[in-house]
Amino acid sequence: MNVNMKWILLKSIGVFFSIYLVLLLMFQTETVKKPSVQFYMSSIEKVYGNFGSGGEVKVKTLKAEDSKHFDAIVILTSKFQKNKAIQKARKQGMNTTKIKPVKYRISTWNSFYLLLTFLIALFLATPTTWKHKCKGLLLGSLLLYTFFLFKTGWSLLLKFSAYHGRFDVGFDNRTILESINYLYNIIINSYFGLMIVVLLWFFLMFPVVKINTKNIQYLTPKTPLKKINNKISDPPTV
Amino acid sequence: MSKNKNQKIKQVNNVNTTTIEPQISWIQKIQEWWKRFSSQVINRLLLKFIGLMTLFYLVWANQYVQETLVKEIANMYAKVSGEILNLMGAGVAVTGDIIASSYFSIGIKNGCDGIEGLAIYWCALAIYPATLKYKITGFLWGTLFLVVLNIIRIISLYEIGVHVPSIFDVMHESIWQILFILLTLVGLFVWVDWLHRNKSAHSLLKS
Repeated sequence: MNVNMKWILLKSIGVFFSIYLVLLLMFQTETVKKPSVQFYMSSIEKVYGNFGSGGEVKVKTLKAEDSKHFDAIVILTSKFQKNKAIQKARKQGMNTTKIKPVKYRISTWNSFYLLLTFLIALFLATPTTWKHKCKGLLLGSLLLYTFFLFKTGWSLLLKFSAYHGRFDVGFDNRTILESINYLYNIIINSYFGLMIVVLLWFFLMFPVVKINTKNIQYLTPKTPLKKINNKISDPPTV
Repeated sequence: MSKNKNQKIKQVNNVNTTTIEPQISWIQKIQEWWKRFSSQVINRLLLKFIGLMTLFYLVWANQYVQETLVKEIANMYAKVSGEILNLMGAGVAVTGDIIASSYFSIGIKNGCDGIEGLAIYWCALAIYPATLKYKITGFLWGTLFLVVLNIIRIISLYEIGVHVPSIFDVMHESIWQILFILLTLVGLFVWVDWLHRNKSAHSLLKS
C-alpha cells in the first residue's frame, strides 16, 4: 500500500470514528434521545398501529429505572381479543373486564439508531464530494428506515402469529410460523443490520469515490478489470 | 385545390409523426435500467456478494448448524480467550461458551463469535476476480486477522467488565461491533490493494 493510499485510509477511519463517537455521545443526552425515541415509537404506531386483520400495536417509553438495556415497550392487542373479553364479561354479568396483552421490550438504539449512526459516519467519512455524500446519505437513510420498518413488521407478524389463538391475527399454520421465525432470527441479528448498512454504502457510495490516486481505480471498476490492470503501471517492488 | 390537398397531406403527415412516436413501457424502462446497472462491474460483484451472503445466512440460521458448528466455534473462542486470560493472571474458569471468575462472567453468544464478520470477508474474497493462489493467501491471513481480533475483543470486554463495568454495554454493543465490521472492511481493502500491486508487479516482470 503506498503512502498516499495509507493516508487516505487512515484519514477516513479517523473521520469515521470522530463522527461516530460524537453521534454516540449525542444520543446519550436527553435533548437528542427523547425526540429520537418519540420518532421511533410514532413510526411504528403510524405504520403498524392497525396490524393485519384487527391487530393493534402501541409503543410506550420505559423509564430508565425500569430497565437498563431497553427504552421502549411494544404492547399487542387485537379487536378479536377485546370483543371476546367483552362478550365473556357480559355473559357473566360484569361491567368491566381485563385483557391480557402481549408485551415485549425493545432498545431503540440497538434496533435502529446504532445502524443509522453507523450509516451517517460511514457515508460522511467516504472520500467524495459533499453533493454525493448528502445525496447518498439521504437515500441511504431512507432505505435503512425502510429496512427498519420491514424488520419491525416481521417481528410483529411473528409475535401475532405465535399468539394466534389469543389475537386471531397473523398465521396459524406451523410451517409458515417456523418460516417466519427462521427469517426473523436472521434479520433481528445486529450484524445483519450492519451488513445492510455496508451494502447500502457499497451500492450508493462506491461508484462515486473520488481520490486523486491512480491506484484507487481498481476499487471502483467501471470497465472490465483486465483492462484496468493493464493501465496500472507501478514500478515493481523487487 | 392543389394547395388544399398539400395542406391536407401535411396535416396527415403531422398526425402520423405524432402517433408513430415510440412509447417506452415501464418494463422496457426497467430492462434499460437493469442493463445499465449490470453493465457496471462493481454492481455485478455486489449482486454476487448478496447472493453468497443470503446463502450464508440461510445455512447459518439453521438450528442444526447453530447447535453444532456455531456452538463449537463459540466454545473454542471461550477456551482460547480463557487460556490467555489465565496467562495474564485473571484466574477464570471456562464452561462451554462462558468465561467466569468471582469478579465477572461473560458468554460468547451469537454476534460475539465473529462468524458474520468472517462470512463477509470470505464472501467478498470469493466474488472478487483473483487467482486461487491470491484468494488462498487472502483467506489465510484475513481469517487469522479476524480470529485474533475477536479474541482481543473477548479479552478486552472481560477486562472492561472487571475493571470498568459501567462502560461494558457501550463497549460491547456500540464500539466493538462497529470496530469489528470496520476492520473487516479495512482487511478487505488491504487484500485488494495487495492483490493489485502483486498483479501489476507480476505483469511488469513478465513484460
